Amino acid sequence: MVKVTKKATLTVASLALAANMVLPSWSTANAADFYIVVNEANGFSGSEDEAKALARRIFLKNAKSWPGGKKAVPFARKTSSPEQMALLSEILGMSDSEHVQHWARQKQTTGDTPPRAVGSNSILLRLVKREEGSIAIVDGSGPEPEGVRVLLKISN
Amino acid sequence: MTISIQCSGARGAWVAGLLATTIWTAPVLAQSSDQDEKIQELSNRLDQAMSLIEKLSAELAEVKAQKASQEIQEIPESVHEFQEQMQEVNLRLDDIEGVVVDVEDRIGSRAVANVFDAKRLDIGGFLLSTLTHVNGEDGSSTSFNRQVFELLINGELSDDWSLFVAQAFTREASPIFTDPAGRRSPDFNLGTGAPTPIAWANYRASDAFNVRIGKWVAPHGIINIEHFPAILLDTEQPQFLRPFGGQTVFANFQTGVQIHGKSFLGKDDGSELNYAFYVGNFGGNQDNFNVGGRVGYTFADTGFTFGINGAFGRRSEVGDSEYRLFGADLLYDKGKILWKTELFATDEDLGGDRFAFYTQPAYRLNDKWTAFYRYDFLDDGTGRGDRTEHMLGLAFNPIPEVRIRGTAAFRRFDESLSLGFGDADAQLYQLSTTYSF
Repeated sequence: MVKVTKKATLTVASLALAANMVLPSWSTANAADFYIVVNEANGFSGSEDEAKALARRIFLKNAKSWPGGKKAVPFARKTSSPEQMALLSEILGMSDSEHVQHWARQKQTTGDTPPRAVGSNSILLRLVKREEGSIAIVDGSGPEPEGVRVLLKISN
Repeated sequence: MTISIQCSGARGAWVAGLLATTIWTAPVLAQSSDQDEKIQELSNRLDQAMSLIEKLSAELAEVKAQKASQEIQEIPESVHEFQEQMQEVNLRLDDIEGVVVDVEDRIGSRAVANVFDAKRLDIGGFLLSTLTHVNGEDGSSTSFNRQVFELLINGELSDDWSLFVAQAFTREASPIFTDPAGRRSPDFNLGTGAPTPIAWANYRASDAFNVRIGKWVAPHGIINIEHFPAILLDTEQPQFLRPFGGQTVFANFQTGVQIHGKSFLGKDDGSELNYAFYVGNFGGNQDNFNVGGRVGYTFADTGFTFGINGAFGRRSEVGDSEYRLFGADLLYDKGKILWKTELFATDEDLGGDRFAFYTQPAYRLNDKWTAFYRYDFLDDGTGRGDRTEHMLGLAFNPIPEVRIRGTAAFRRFDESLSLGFGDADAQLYQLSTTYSF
């Protein structure tokens, strides 16, 4: 019984190590290329995968509120900006054309429009600080932005 | 006599005192008995004092130079900090100027439209034009048969209340067959109008519970919910959804109340369960309520969505025309494959039961081109014979707002023994463009 447990532990540890080597893009380490930030008052707690899945739903407006009922206010970035490209590939898992098709469908069937695109990091951070249900992606090359909560760190 | 003095610039006062003492004591020494010696001694002391002054001056100059050097070393740090601050201020100014330029570009000297009371108002729409050629057993016909302009308006009244209106202006000539059997002599049946296919208000209690009141697209299947030509691969839609606004299998549009919502389940809440249930009326039967709904489930990120549908009600205001609808739909949308399949069957008290099925696989060749095929079967319960249609199509999006399509449909009308109609074939070719904004 003990042998099996040790073997299982070793196997799990090896797999975890391999996974870390193979899948480095999601990390809680400090180094990050982009931050997914939310308002400081946002109390969402969940695993990274849960946070990523929830962020995806909110950015696509498939979900319109946070767990707990607070209205979600997503902000996008300018088309083709590094932040928007990272959002598409790392959070939404969509190509640009798939993203466009998604919003064409949403606009025509529900009237929902894409999140407002903001060009400036500093203005976006001010908006996130002001809107309680907000979520956005910002440049992560510097230190963690103050006055907001970093929900996810994305390393390309 | 040698005087060794360690002195720094701070001892300047002491040195001055020593010098003064030396000068003031000179006359006293001159009056002593050995004046020459004393004078010599004074002279020596003066030399020493002068030497000391020179030494102190040199030290003072050295100290001043050191201090100046220190200041020069400190200044670059301040300049660096200042430059960084200036850079940050410049970046922020660039940001703000960028925003101002955007706003100026969008608005400039134009008037700004205000909404009476809503928090937000979005206006969009599309323009659809088609050219259709129909080749039948007894002739052929070609027409720029469809010109539709539709305005879509979405108003956000509050965080929880919204409204959505689709107002169409149409000049449509649907392809028809004018022979008694309705299958051999193609023609176009012109009609114009300004229908309002959608006009609802929505109250959102949560993602899981919404109430929609007004006129809405019946929440059945896949293509009827998508409904808008701007996002469809084919403007004609499957046979069971024709004619526009009809009730070949179920009424495409209804007026009433609908509750709908979605919930997220499974690992990381990655799967979606959604529902829509309604009570409503439709054109041609305003006296009776129809009840129905759909439940759909999206299996995480597999691309699969499965839906089951059901409804019951009455087809018309007169006669025993109750019906019961059953249906299922399956969507696969992942990567390059977009595959839609729907199946509906009805149990009718008046006329024959109805059955409709189509499957439409599509392949995304690249970001701009999509090719598709559709097998489409319909038994409309009239006894006029089943209809089968094979459609091939190619859709091209030069830009996301423009969709250009070419379709070729090969339709087969089965014979009707009860009505004495023979079978017939027809081919329909269509070019269509949709511009959405």
